[in-house]
Formats: sequence, C-alpha cells, structure tokens
Amino acid sequence: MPNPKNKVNLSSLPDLKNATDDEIVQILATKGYTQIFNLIDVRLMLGFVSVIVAAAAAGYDYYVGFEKAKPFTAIGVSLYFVLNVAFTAWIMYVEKGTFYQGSKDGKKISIISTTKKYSPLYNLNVTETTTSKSSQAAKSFTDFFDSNGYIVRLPLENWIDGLILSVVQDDSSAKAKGSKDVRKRE
Amino acid sequence: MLPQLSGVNIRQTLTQALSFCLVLTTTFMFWKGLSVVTNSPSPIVVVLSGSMEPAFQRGDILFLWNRDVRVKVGDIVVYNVKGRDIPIVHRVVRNHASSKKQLLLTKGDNNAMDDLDLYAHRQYYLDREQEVIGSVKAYVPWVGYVTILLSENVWAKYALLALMGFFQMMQRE
Repeated sequence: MPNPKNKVNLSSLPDLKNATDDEIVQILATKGYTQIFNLIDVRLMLGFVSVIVAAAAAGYDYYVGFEKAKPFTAIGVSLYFVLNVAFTAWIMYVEKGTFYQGSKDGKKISIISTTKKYSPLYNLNVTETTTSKSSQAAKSFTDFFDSNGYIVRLPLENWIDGLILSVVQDDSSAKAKGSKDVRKRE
Repeated sequence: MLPQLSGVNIRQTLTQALSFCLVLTTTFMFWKGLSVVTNSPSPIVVVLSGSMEPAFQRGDILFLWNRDVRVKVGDIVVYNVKGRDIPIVHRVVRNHASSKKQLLLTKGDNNAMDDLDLYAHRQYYLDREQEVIGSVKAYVPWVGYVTILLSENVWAKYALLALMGFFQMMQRE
C-alpha cells in the first residue's frame, strides 16, 4: 500500500519538514478547507518578474551590443537587485515560514512550520487570522513517521485537528459547554 | 479536492523552476553589473595563450577596469581586433595621444615581434576607445583553466548547465 515514491529520508530534516508540510496540506484539503494561495502567488510573481527583467536586459544587450545597451543594462541590474531584495524580504518578513493558508466556514487559518538543525522537533504555529488567536506546539517527527520513512496520517491528523480547534473555537461556546479543557489539550 | 491539489502541484513546479531560473539570472546579473561598473563588456577574462609568460600563464583569470581615459605605456590591456571575437592580452609598448583619442601599439612579453601582424588589414595602431576593453588590475592564477576546457569541448558547457539544473530541481529546501 505505501508508495515507494513517498519514502522520506529520515536523516534529512528538510525532507521530513517538506513531507509533513505536504501531508498537512492534503489533510486540510480532505477536511473541506479551501487553500488561499496569495502568499505563494506574490512570491512567484516577484521572482518571475525579476527573471523577466533579467531576460529582457540580456536580450537587449545581445542584440544592440554592450555600448548601446549600457544605460538599459544599468537600469536592468538595479531593478533586478530591488526586486530580489523585495523577494527575499517577502520570504523572510511576510511569509516567515507559512506553508499553508486556508479558509472554511468564514474562519481563515495560517500555519507556520519550523525546524531547528539537529533537533527532531517539528514546530507548528496555527493562527486564526481574523481573531489573531494562535496556538503553538511541537512534536518529534517520530510521532508520525514510521521507521521505514513513510508518513502516518492519523496521528498527524489528530494533532492538527486539535490545534485548529483550539484557535477556531469561540470563547463563548467553550464556556457554554463548560469545557475549558478543550483548549488546554494539545 | 482534485482541482485544489493541482493548484498546489502547479505552484510547486513553478517554485522549483523559479529556483533554477534565479540561479542563472542572478549569476548573469552579477556579471552585467560588474560590466557596467567597470565599463568593460567583458570584465573578467581568461588568458588563452602563453604570449605573456612569465607574467601570465594560460588559464589565469584577469580582472579588468575600463574607466581610465588614457592607458599608460607598460600597462597590460585586453583588446579585441576589429571584427574578431578573441580577446588578446598584451602590454602597451607605444602610445600616441591627442585630445581626441589615444592610439596604442601592443606586444606580448613572450613574443619576438609586436602585434602589428595581429591588427586588421592596414591598421597600424589600436584605438583605446574602440578596441581596448580594459586594463588588467588584478589576477588569479590557474582557476580559469576550467573555462578553457569547457570552451574547447562544445558539449561540456551544456552538460554542466544541465547538471546544475538537475540538482536544483532535485533540491527543495
């Protein structure tokens, strides 16, 4: 049943993080969340516009020669530099590791995942963006990867469910049900 | 569910393609930026012949600066003869300067004769503005030999680029 293509190198932290991120995206798709691609799209646009600028400068320089193209090449290089700084700034200060944004029933959630080198922990930060309520938790990758390198969906799904519930649930309804414990549970 | 996930997949492919493109364009823009700053169409050149030994060997990398209005006798310059693409690295041995232009005669240190035979038909001097692409300000020995190997085998360049692209696509950090 497990697809050999999905086998993850358990010693590679980036591979583990990317595989878990991808799995969460799929889990949320099955739960009826609509993914919002705005962050990714802006990043792609910034990147590709800078590539187009570089290609245009390259083409013009190739056709009219270095001397004639010099002023435009200078503009092109400066523009490319500015766009790339913006691109990097977008990734570092706006995205900040957000790998998923989605909405369901009027609630919009944003999920950030981070890993630290040489640590087996996968840190998740789930935020409901309209109320700014957020929930942070960490689990070792061993909790949802088997020893052969395949991801096991169920423990991951239960964990992410709990995290989302804790940020999406209204305070009033929790008090009404008399179960404040719900939010304390990981 | 399927259309949702295909949106994810397109973007994943685009992201990886972007990473690859950015490697190429950033390298290229650095080169062009250096070109504009030094005012030279080719600010870094590789020594192709032994005509400047013992100062420069085949495979040395030279860094050029082209903003000196007048070049001095004794400077080492890189020039392209009108109509030919191969850069020649030789020393300035004679110069005639007027307010309008500077004419140069060059000679390789390791050559018996000056460069008169290398110039175009009926051309006796190089024009500093038109043909000189820069004077040598610094050099790194040996490192350029790789580019000589690459340029002497046409397929090697494309093989290297394909290899770079392949490794970029395989990574996803």
